[in-house]
Amino acid sequence: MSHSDATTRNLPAARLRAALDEVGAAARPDYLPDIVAQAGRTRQRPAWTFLERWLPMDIAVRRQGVPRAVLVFAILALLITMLLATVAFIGTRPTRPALTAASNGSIAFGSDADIVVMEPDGSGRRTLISGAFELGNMAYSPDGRRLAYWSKLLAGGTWDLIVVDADGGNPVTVASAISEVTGPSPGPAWAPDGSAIAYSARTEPPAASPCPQWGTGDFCTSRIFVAAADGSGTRQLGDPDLDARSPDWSPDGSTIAFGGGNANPNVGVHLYVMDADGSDVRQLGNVVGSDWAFIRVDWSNDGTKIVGQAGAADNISDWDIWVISADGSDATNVGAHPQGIDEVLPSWAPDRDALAWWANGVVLQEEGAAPVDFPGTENAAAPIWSPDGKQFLAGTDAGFMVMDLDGNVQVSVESPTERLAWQPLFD
Amino acid sequence: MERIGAAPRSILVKHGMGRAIERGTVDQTGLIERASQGDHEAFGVLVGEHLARLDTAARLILRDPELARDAVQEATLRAWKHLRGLRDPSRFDAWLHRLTVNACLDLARKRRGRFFEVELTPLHDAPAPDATSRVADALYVERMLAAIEPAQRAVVVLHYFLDLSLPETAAALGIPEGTAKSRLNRALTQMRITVADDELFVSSAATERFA
Repeated sequence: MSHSDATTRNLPAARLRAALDEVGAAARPDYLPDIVAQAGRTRQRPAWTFLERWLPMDIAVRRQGVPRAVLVFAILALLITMLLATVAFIGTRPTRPALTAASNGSIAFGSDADIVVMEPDGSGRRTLISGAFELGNMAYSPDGRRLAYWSKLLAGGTWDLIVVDADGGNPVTVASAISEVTGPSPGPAWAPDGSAIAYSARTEPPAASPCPQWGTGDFCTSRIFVAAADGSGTRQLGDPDLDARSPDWSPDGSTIAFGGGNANPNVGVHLYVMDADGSDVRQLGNVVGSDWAFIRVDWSNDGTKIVGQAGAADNISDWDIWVISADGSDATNVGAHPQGIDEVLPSWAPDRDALAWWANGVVLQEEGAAPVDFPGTENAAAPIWSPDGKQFLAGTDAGFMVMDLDGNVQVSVESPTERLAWQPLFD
Repeated sequence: MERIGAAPRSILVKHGMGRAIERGTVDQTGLIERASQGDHEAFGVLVGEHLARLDTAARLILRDPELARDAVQEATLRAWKHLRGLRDPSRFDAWLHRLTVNACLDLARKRRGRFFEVELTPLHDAPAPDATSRVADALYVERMLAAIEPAQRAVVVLHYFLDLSLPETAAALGIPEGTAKSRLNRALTQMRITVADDELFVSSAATERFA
């Protein structure tokens, strides 16, 4: 259209609004019945798939005023302490134990704010931890001897990351006063040697340019931290300007993979890796997703591949399952439902190259085979592998179940929870 | 409590929602709760309240009634699927606006270069232009909308048609507030419109450069 004849028109805002009303005026849309019918044919996503339900999120608490001199002194003291702790921590890191097949130990699950454990057959149920206001995600250490969990002691308070022995003894607070944990799911990420735990948490937004909201969160103030498992200190890792979440250690402990992005939602979230000391941050490949893409990233057992959820080829908002080589090459969409169904939260079997994830139900894919949907798991949460790789846990709004790979429910527990962890045992 | 406004009565009655109409008012939070439990008829009432305005917004952005219908259907289906993830029911309206605008922009991107834009107000139906008349304003705005990209239309529609504030507009588009403001300014400049009593002001010098 040529606009050579158009001259600038000065309109009060009210007249512009009225003009838009006039331009858009039309007969009432007649397709509400189509919308209702379409809704009737379409399954809603279960509540648990909205990942903010998995993550212990909270609004940041307002800080009390602190005299500047005290603040400067505290920062200096903290920096010196962290420097010393870092040197000591790096110098004393044990080497990773040799990988051996694990057997299935206790299952830990959330019951309100308590942690309850039971044997894999459902027997021996007992409360391990109680007394908190709210429970977050949890994970057993790679050797199965300790359990890390997020806990909020008081309503309106902040989150603490606590490590206890598998019998609930010797609690150590390894990170504290976290206003919002941003990942990963399903639990804190233990280093393979059990010496440290990686997590991601919200940091203060820059006052001058607050983060824009996009989808179900903002994607510019999350950063990755590592806490020494003995409680001797935490440190922030990686690019200080890059939004980063959901860290996962490579099997040899040398590298951390994570989902990263920045404040511009149009750029989306990519898969990143960095050295375990936070240096050499680099993007792997061009696979991109929106919002909670790469909320769980998982290294294969041999460390050659990383799996995560990211956008479909034609729509970054529809999540599929992507396997990407550790050098960023060979990105492959292995999703079972390439069109229209979100596929989320993949993980490798602990003993082989098999994958499990959720896509309107539990999906399993053995190496070289086609993905298989599990009937009866439509409302189940993302599967959590048993340590021996022969069963999985799936939580629902009604309880959780232990299923075998033939789809048989071995144990069903009527305790609704999404907080689940399975203890590995070694001879 | 909000009043059911835009949903045609016949549609609501057809879907068994006549009782809600008889009462005259519905509790939006209650409807969201019912809809999130799988009650698609409650969802129909919920969407019906907004449908006319969403459809109009989509037509203003896409300038194609069929595409607009596709965008609104896509947005409402997405709202249905993701309703259980909506933590704050009071944000439902803003969320639906955001989904609709994003669906419009997605469709616009996919159909880049393949648009068949139509005039929303046929000229032969309009009376002779009168510089001061509402219809004349509408004809002018209609022509000027055609001159800008869908992403620019989106910011104009969000702010001036859906009456979102600039921070809300920015949030709906997922962009910083400053970017929303400059995008709106640029859109109005390209539309050769100076908005006299808004928080935005496009100088005549700026608009003359495009004249």
